[in-house]
Formats: sequence, structure tokens, C-alpha cells
Amino acid sequence: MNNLQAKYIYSSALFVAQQPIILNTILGSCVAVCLWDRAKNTGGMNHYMLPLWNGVGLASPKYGNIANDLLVKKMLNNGSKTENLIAKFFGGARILDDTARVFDIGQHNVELAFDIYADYGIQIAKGSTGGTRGRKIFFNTQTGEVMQKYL
Amino acid sequence: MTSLTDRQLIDELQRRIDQRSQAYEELEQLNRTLRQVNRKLIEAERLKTNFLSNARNEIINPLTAILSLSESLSANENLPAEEIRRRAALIYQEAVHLDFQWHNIFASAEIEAGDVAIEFYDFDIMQAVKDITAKFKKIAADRNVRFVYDGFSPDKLIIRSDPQKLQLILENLIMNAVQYTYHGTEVNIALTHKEEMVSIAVTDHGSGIDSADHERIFDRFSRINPAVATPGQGHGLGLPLTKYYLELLGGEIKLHSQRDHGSTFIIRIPDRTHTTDSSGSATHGEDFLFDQSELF
Repeated sequence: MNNLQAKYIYSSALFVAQQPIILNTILGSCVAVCLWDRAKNTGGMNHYMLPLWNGVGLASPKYGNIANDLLVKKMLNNGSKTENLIAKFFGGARILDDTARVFDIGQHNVELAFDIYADYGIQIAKGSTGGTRGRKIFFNTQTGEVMQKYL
Repeated sequence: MTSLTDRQLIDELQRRIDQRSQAYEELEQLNRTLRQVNRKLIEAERLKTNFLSNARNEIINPLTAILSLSESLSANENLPAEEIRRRAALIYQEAVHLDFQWHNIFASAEIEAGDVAIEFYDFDIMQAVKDITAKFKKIAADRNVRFVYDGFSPDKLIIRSDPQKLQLILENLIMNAVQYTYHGTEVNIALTHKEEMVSIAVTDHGSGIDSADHERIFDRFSRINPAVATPGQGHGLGLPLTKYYLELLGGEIKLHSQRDHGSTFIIRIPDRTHTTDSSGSATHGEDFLFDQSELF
């Protein structure tokens, strides 16, 4: 694992690997989806901040609906098949412990991921979401393993 | 269950009715939001169509000028040196314009594709601003617009940020100011640096922006009053792009403007010279040795 190159995925960015690589990122209420192709041993990751684009600003992968569609599309363009894909979700913590409870962005980010990947018929494997702590994750696109540390 | 009184039954029913009506209200609220989003999307689609024709002009107009000017230069053997210089300057000006538009369009496309990476370097922010105004000097001179600097000194002001992103941010603000300020007025650029924050204010003396439109100008493809700006210029990508980049760099943008009183755009970006923990460098090998990590 240590021999692989590493790439940091900034918030609002996404990356689909052509070669084995360690994709890593840091998450609070943001969600990162690690999408792994078990047949081709490749993968990709996004890192979105808000659930839905509402028509304001640029239509970027800052928003879950765009980031997830784009990630799946890029994997498929890369030659993956949906039946070989496995999605793991990370992040979506409730960082602000005040009245933000009314609209828990982290939770909405996570729920959206479950909805979208279910719609695509992509298998969802165990990840780590919710809670109140930030996370740092490392996704090995060759093995599909994700190493997580709480911050 | 056997000892339920009428009172308890009524209370329970009341509780359930309250729950239902609350759920109904929430649903109504969601419906309203959905209708709003729907309207926004229809608007966005319409703006996108406008954008395509705008962008087409933005690219074809300068390119046509460059083609014909360079053609005239190479076809005329006996042009006086002065005329050659004049036409070369025009070609340069059009190329600057084209270059600026390309950068905006490509940068927006990169953002929408999720392909943006941040790269922090040390650079001289004063020089960066001067380079941009030098590049736009001719365009400003054509409108008889002067640049007036505040807070600038002959010294260097080295900060750490992403110079390429900051350059595009400043180009957009300064280019907008040059285009929207009234003919023969000035564009003021004020710079302050304190507590590891750089603040740059760009002021034009144009028609200003209604406060009702202050939010909308950051929507993509939207242009508040195309009639006020130089006809055919702008495609409505600059400000959304600027705002997005600023968020990425940990900064912000504010607008002070009133109808008929010009506009001031103020950006604030953190100087990361003394920032040791940048999330961008979270790729060290030792991270793999940490304890308490879990595997998924």
C-alpha cells in the first residue's frame, strides 16, 4: 500500500484512477464516495459538500447529485460495468452541534448517496458515516480497501 | 390498554392529528422548495442557451479581428513602421481578450468536471495586480479609464496562495470594472494585508447594481444589465467562477453597490505563509502508520 502514489481529493473535486493509487481526503459534514470496480481493480472518489445543486452558482461536484452522477459516469466511461461496482460512503458528520440539527447537512449528504447508488443498482458496502467527528480516509483503488482514522 | 380513559383516548387522537398536520406542513414546505428549484432550473437552462451565443461572440469576434489584422500586416509590403506597431498592438489587445475568455470558459468547465486542484506558491501579490492592469492597459485606455492604486508600494508583498486562481479572480474583477465604469472615469484598486489576510477592493464608477441583484450576479450565465456593458461582451461566467475560486482558497467576496453609485467588489483571501497544516499536503507516508485506523 505504501508503494502506491497518493492523491488528495479536494472538496468539490473528483478523480477516477487509471492506475492503482491511494486517494485520500479529509471529511467533516462532506461526504466522499469510494467507488471500486472489483473486476478491473480500479476506483474513483468524489468529495461533495452539499446534497443538491439548486441552480445557483456553477453546476459543480460541490453538490452530491452532480458529484455522484459524474463519478458513476466517469467510471462507466472508463470501461466499468455497474454490476462490478461497489460503493462505500464516508463522512457526513454533524460537525455543528447547534441548531443546525434542523437541517443536518451531513445526514442529507449521506441519504442522498444511498438513494443515488440504489437507483443505479450499484452494490453498497459498509462504510462509515454520521457521528460528530471528522474523518481522514485512504482509498486503495487496487484493493478497494478504505482505511479510516477519526480526527 | 384496558384502563384507557376517554380523556387519554382523546389526547392520543389529538396527538396523532397534530403529527399528521405537521407532516403535511413539512410536505407543503418541501413542495414549495421543489417548485422554486424547478423555476431556477428552467431559468438556468434559458441562460445556458444565451451563454452559448454569447460565448460564440466572445470567441469569434476577437479571432476575426486577429485574422484580418494579421492578414493585412503580412499582405502589405509598404506599411510604415508606426502603422505596423499600431496594428500589432490591436492584435495583442484582441489576443488578450480571447485569452481571458478562454481561461474563464476552461476554468468553469474544469470546475464543473471536478478537475480543479489547488497549488500554493509564494508570489508577489502587488506584482500580480500590476501585471494584470498592464495587460488591460490598452483596453482601459480605449475607454479613457485610469487605474488608481491604493496601498501599493515599490516593495514586494510576498504571500502564499494559488497564484493562477488568484490571477483569474483579479482579471475578472478588474476587467468587469474597466467595462462597467463610465467612460473617462477611474478604476480604484486598494490593497491591504494584515493578520494573514489579503484584501483587495476593486471599485468602478459605473451605473452600480441594484441591491436586489446582488445575489443573482453570482449565478452562472446571468448578466444583470447587458445594455449597460459594452454590447456583446461578457458571458456571465466570470463572477460565479470568481466566487467559486475564492471559496476554494478559503476566501470570500463582498459587494458594495447601489444604483448610480458604482460598485466595489472586495475579496479577502488568507495568506498561507505561516499555515503549516494544509489539507492539500495530506499525502505523507507516515499517515499510513497511524493507530486506531479502521479498514472498510
